[in-house]
Amino acid sequence: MFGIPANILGSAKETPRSEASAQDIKQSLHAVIATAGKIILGKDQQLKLAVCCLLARGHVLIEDLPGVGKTTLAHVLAKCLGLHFQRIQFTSDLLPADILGASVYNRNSSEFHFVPGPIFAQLILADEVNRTTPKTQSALLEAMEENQVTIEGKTYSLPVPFFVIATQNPNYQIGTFPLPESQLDRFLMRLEIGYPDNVSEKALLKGEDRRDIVQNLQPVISPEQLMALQKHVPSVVVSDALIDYVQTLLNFSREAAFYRTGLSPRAGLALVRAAQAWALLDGRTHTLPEDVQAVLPHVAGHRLVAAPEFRDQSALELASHLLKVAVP
Amino acid sequence: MSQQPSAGRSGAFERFLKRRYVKPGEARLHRRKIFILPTYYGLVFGATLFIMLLGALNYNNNLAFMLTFLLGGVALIATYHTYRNINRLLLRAGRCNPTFAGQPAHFRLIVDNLNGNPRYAVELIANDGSGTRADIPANSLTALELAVPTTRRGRHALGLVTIQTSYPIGVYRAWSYVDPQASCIVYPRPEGLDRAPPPSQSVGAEQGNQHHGTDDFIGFRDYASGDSPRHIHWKAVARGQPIMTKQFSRPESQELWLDWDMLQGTDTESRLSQLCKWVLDAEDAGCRYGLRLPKQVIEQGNGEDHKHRCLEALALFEDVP
Amino acid sequence: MKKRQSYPIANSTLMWLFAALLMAVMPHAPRLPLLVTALFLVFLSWRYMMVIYRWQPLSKISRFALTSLGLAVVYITQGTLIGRDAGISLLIAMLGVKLLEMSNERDVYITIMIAYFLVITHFLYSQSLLTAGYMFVVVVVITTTLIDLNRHEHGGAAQIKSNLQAAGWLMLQAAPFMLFLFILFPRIGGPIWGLHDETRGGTTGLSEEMSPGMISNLSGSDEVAFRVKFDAELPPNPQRYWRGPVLWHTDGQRWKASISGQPPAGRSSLPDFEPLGAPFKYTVTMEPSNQRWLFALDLPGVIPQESALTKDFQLQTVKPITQRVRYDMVSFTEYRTGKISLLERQRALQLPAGVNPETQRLGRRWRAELNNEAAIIDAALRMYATEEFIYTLSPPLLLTADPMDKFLFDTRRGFCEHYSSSFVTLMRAAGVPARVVTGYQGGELNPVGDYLIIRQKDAHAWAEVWLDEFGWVRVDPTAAVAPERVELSINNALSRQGEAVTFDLPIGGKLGELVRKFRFGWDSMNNGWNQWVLNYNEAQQRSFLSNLGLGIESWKDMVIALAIALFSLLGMFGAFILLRNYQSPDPIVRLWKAYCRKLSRKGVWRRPSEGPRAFSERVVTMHPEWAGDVNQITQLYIDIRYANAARQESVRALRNAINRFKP
Repeated sequence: MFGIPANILGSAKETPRSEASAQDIKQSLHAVIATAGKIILGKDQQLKLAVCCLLARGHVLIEDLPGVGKTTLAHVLAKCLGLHFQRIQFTSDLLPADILGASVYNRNSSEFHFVPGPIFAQLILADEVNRTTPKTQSALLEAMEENQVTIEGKTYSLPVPFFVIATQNPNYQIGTFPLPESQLDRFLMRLEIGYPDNVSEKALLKGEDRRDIVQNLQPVISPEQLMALQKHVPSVVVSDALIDYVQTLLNFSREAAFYRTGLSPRAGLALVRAAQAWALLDGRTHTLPEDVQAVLPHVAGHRLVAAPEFRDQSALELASHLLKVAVP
Repeated sequence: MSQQPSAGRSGAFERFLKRRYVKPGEARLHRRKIFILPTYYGLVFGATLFIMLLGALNYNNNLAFMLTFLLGGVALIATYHTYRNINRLLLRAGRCNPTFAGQPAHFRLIVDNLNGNPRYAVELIANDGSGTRADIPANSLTALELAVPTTRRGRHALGLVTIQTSYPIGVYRAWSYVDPQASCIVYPRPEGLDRAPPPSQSVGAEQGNQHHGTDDFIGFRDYASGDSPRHIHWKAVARGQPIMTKQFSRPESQELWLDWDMLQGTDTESRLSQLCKWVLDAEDAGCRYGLRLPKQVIEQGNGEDHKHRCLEALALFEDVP
Repeated sequence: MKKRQSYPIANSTLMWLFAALLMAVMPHAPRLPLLVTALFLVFLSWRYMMVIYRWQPLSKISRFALTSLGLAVVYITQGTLIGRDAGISLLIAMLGVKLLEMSNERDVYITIMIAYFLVITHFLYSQSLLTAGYMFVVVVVITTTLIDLNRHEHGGAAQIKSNLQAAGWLMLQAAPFMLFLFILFPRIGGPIWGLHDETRGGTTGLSEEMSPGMISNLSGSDEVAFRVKFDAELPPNPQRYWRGPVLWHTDGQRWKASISGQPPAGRSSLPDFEPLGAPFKYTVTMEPSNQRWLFALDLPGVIPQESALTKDFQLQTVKPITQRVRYDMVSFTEYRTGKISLLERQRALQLPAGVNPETQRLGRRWRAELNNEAAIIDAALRMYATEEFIYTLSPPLLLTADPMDKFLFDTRRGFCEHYSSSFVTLMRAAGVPARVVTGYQGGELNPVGDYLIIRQKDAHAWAEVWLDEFGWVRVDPTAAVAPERVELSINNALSRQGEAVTFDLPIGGKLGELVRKFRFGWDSMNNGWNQWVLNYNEAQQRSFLSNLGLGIESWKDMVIALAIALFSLLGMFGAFILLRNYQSPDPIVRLWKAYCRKLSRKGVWRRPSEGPRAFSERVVTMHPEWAGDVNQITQLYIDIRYANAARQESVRALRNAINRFKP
């Protein structure tokens, strides 16, 4: 059906789930968002998108200035979901083995044994990925894509759930390696956090140290519950009418003057998946054009390449042109 | 499809219509923007009908009357069919990939026919007369491509586009003007000497030293005396492993500076054409190259993006006396 | 100034064109010189080969040579280049040449226009229902060609269908315009310039003269002479004598009205007879005969417009009947005619001296023996009835100076003209004033339209004799030989050379019934066609429009009415075609659009990029009073379209909800 594998298309037959269950999902996820929202003030939308991404088993790229709370966001999410958290600070001399791990010779047992790298965690904060070399970047991205790492011919599975929050500093700096377009595609969404609004910032400044609160956070749901929720996403109904809309969007992105390259079929898949997760977050078992529109700027933004005349538009601005496309 | 009316009079008429009815940007065609007139064939059809009517009257032949009237009815309703064939279409500028002067610029125009019936043989005609024709399926976004010849480098604006149709029977032409504000970057015509520019002096020192480049990590090798301490894999040493040296490589390539000032004594356009050719050659040869223009410097690099950035700089170069 | 974009002509367009031209030309073939048809077909096949095998186009010189060839062929075969027949030949020959030289869009347009024109030329020869139906198909094919020429993408069976459909729709939509133009376009009586002698063509039916074999020739023809609709009941078959030319003068072989050919008795302004029975009232619709007789049941009691009644009761028109005419008649089948004048008596006894001596001798003998007119007639009829006379369609030829003698005393095989002429000769020889009357006898009742059809095969000749106490009395000697003739119709298919005539007995069986039903239905349709379409002329138009009672009287009124009709039709059509811009094949989408239209009438427009939920939220914020309906409709719509809910009942619920919704 329209080149999109059937497994992500839900059908009414397959899942005669009651609305109550969808509401339960909504409630438990909103509890997560609410808890996280107590620490990350005024960023409910970003939190919701991040949770949506998590739900859809995608990874997030956060592109923003230092100090707006990227790290806190990752940390808080990990805490709320009870996920094993690892932070990897990317530097120019970081090697693939530093992330993935390496075989180490053990003198006592006279044999090599594998020492897992920091990637073997459930939630990874890959801080400032653009500081490291392309080689190291691709090691991370391949692991993200395949959910496993292969070292010296042996394959090791990554833990589940596995969720990467990568951050990138947008400022052009000497000695950085911006992620190539082909790699950006691996992230389901690209978020910007932005400065907090006045009220939130005031609360932030007045309140106690965030780090302490984070330390004391209790998980809202368990990783097992999260995985159970993730299983619901593919069965959210995607009707033909919605597929038509997504196709129109893809078609537009490929023809419009704003873009040098349009959205790939993979981007289309990502869009549908993210929209399904968004619908689930909203307590529905079917996907609406509004769901697609909600996630569209974040899913499409980093996958579109601006045409020369529109180079000075930001990724979100570029993607927002797609929102003008008519719903069939 | 249509025969244009005679040049002089309609030229003024067209200018009036364009002034009066065209707004820049994307446009949805509607009642007040669409004009319709009989074509030359419409007049021939009318004349044929008139002769048929005379014959019918003369012979008082009722079947002849019926045929004439039937065709007359067809001629009347064809106005609606022709008009409807472009009514409510939404046109906006689409992509236009850069091109080289002398080669056509392929402007793409997006025809938005969402919630519309199929349209047949819709023609787009650019200001210079180049045109294209296509069928537009129902309920679709369709991109039509207009190939417009270019002669000069720079930003080539598409200008006004006439959208017209004569479907179904060719006796009317319904048309409208749109100004999608589309433009295309036209690179200079690549021409000049084949001789490559001399490699830049700054590169010479690093020639033959690619093993010690700093660009790309390729692996480890055993430590050899004289290796830079910066490249020793200290972490492994710390774990008690043998001393290893990190190896980096850089593509085996020349580094070039393509410099405006190297080309003395020719006019601006020839210089740009020569630089354009060098950029293409350098990219083909896999060199790292940079571009130095009087008011702009593009650092060394390579790849498609880099090439286009250089070419764009050449295309939009403004000669300051 | 923009250059005009020129597109190559697609092969599919050419194929449509070939088909259209073939269809438009071929019905002319029987009327065209063989050479012209052959020339056209050769040129058409040539062009076809050019398309299929990519032959080179012709040089200028060979085109010129072919044009000359075409002109020469037409001139040689037709002897002229002007006039109707030659003109059509020329048109077709030049069409062939045009086909060969056709290279661009313009040529194709011109060829298509010629094809349309060619269709109209067929109507000069035939306006039957069949012709009209066939030509309609031809026009659809020509229009399809025109549409295909204006298409961008070509090829595929789907396109053949869609083009044909488009052409069909155009025709269908143009039909109301045609109807109004047809009714309201002012007609003028005669031709604009009087040239069309040719339309006269050959005369059909009975003529002013009668010679042996003339009527039997007609008896092979199923062509309709006229149709009669009776107001009340029909006269019985033996009384259905449709009176035509009355023949007085004979040279012993042939009969004509008089030596000069003019009716001898002069005109009368009133029917000069005394009716004895009740009148029959009826309407005759007569096919063009290019003759001047109107036919009426013996004897006509009124005189239609633009015609006169002669003293021997023939109805004659002023001009030959070149178009179908319709007239109301009243007839009396029982009558007593007035006095006979001296001149008439003299002419009714005229016999050429020395011709047919045997016959004259027999007549004189009867006069001498019987001396009673009734007895003489009786003797003659008894002779036909009792002796070996045979009624046949193909009598032996009477190649002799005394044909009546040979017929009466030798061959004794004949058709009605033999019997009537020999009978009148005998009567005159016996001194009884007599004359030959030709016309039609009988007719077939069409139960579908409840009218009589009189065909050429019903042509008949009978005699009238003068009896002092009764006036002119009809005597039909054929009835004495073959009484069935006046009871049944001739079955000409079964009448072979020299054999006795058989008659149409009602065919038995279901099949026969079906065939008859079909034939009657078909003729009834034709009759309607003739009455309502072909016969719609100036007079009919005037009476039709005045019967409408809209006060459309003059040309000016018609033009105004026509303009009003066309403008309102155009307006209605425009509203129909434009408002209903795109009908989605999905009923849900149509319903949703209907709902959005309802809201837009209240000034709430859905933005094209707005999803259903966002839209409904906006509507509810703007108009909280509609919340219930809007939420229900939106929920149903989302369920069906985005949640794949069971359709059937939801669709119905949605339709009801939208119908109920009155913002």
